[in-house]
Amino acid sequence: MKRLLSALLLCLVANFGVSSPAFSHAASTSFLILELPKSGPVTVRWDLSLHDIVWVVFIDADYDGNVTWQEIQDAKPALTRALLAELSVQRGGASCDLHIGDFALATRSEQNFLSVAMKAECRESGLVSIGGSLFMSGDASQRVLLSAVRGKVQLTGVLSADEPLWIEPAQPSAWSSFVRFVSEGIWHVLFGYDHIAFVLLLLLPSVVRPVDGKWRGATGFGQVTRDVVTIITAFTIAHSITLALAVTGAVKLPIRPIEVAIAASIAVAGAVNLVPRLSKLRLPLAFGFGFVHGFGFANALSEIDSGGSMLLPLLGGFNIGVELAQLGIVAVVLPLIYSMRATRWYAGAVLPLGSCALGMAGVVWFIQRI
Amino acid sequence: MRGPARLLALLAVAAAGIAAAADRFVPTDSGFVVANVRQSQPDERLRELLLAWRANPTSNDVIALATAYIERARSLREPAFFGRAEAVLAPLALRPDANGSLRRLYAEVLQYRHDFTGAENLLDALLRETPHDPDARMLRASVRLVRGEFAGARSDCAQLTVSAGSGVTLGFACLAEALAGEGSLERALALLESAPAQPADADSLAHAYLLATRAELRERSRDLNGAILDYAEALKLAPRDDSIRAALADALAARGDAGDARDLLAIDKPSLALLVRSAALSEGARRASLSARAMAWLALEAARGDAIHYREEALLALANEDPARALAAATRNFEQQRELTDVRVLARAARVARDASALQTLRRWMRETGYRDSVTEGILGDGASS
Repeated sequence: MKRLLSALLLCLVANFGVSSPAFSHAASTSFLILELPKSGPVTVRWDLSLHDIVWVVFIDADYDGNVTWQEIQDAKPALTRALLAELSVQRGGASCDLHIGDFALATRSEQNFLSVAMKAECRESGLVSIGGSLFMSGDASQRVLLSAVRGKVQLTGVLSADEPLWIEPAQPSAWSSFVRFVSEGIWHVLFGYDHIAFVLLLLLPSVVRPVDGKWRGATGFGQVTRDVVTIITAFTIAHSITLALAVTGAVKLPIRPIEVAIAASIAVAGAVNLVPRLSKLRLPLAFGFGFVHGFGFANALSEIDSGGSMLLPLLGGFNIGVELAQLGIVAVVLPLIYSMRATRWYAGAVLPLGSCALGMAGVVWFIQRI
Repeated sequence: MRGPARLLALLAVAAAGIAAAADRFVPTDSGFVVANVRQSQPDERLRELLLAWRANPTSNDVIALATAYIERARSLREPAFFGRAEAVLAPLALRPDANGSLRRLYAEVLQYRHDFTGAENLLDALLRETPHDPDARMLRASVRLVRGEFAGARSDCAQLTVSAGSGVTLGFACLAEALAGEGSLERALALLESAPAQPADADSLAHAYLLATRAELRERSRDLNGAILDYAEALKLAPRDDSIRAALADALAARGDAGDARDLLAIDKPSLALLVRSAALSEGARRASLSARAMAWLALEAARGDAIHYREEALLALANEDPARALAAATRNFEQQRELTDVRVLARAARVARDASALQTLRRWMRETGYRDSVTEGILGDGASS
């Protein structure tokens, strides 16, 4: 209701007719779509709102308020001059020659946009920059949404009257992408409490063995190491497979069921740890739920701006980051629980209570996510 | 990644799609009407103002031009005219020698952009220099009410009650809103009853504001029927005000009259506030279609970097049973504005997302301000502000 109050202010000041400042569409926007080949002309498509162009070019020849397709054809010379004045393309620091191609229409947000095809012939190679007045002068709210394709990489940008220049970002090297995504993988596991919970639930029983329906401390470090390596490797193989399948787009699953299944995996793993006779299920559970966690990693990865990184270093780096974080957890937790394995309170309290607490957390997350 | 970061990332991905997707076509009929630009191109009066301003861009002609732009933005519901007003005002409004009208108009533009801090700072400075500027005070009161700064708003509104003409009506309504924000619902309602009577046709919009304020207070005090009557009366006086239309639709839906609410929302070229409510109250294919339109609108705004429709995003996400997105949007919205709908949408989102921290934040705010709303208290389930 305060909107009405502020509208009333103007009413009182200037005796205006007043209506609500609620608008029937978003503010003015045009769209630049680029193809950036390594060599040859840069392809440019510019979708513009007629509502913006009419401030610069006189198109509505009969001044009846309606711009017809014929009026656009008639105004093509003036439009061409305006387009060339409002847009500039550079490559490698040198200006490119812009050639206007055909005019068409494109429907966006239920409005017809003038869609102009162009080619930019560039003498130099290198990174492309694009800018100009872009029909934005006079409207501070106007934006140009830019979408560029460089090979298989999608780049985006937003241009405004304040920042009317887009510069193609340099493609990150394979090594820098790899290093960045190793870090992303590590942070994802360390801040993704559900993955930590699952890995801990896999680790807790690794220092004990089921004997007559009860947990007994494992006899030697070699035996424990073999168990940990087997279980963690099974989990790793499984989640690596689904991570790769999801990231490459081979398999697509909705986020929510995956998040629910990850919570369920924690609840189930917690329950299994409470029953020594079920310890044989640990390996199939680690492998089976590993597939689910892989989709979870893929969801996390899809939410990170790739910044033009190539797929292989991105995927490989993230996966290795996840493994490093898991190994870090093993390195911290395993010596601790190994040293406690023979005590009565490890099998009698730490293992069951820890599993119970983590399993209950899984139940809570499960309920929250369904 | 959780919450706002995840939301932003998802919207960024959507933005890439927005820019790229749209098939081209060439009309076969040369008479095909591509666009109606009657409202968007400058009329004769605007052209004269533009020419005068271009001849002397630093003169006071900019005030006339910006005022004309804002008038058109409001009357034609064309956001681009706010952008045009900003473009002419921005170079001058922050200069030390900028006059009051210039700065007040710029504050108006900032408020539209939901830059409430910028608007309030500008008005603070203006009122320090000219404390008896009723227009600046009214604008600051409206900014403070939107932000839930009820004590500050109360002070501004109180000064408006001694102004002249329709300003008195506005002052009383504004003061009632501020008092209600601090929990004095009964006192606020009594104040509205004691507002000096004015002929309804003297300033129908001021009267509409008073009625809408009383409706909101009644709604918060469990008098839904009384609220609906007041909202309906207010809408008759201000039929193009979408905030009243939306509030009436919400109240009708809350009473179980979803059909009436749907009919009320079915207007030509609805705002996003009305569109998301229509989607929430519809079913089947119509719901999917309206929801898709609203989502496209929000995705475009996100791609542009606008931050003015978190409330609607939260409402839509609630309707689409996406608690995480609803909570992220409602939380961001609550950082910007704290009107009745904002309070309720945060309560609902926090409840469906089972987010104890968000519920606690809202409870604390209600305790600290004294804010009362029967519906929110019901959602929080513990008599939060009592």
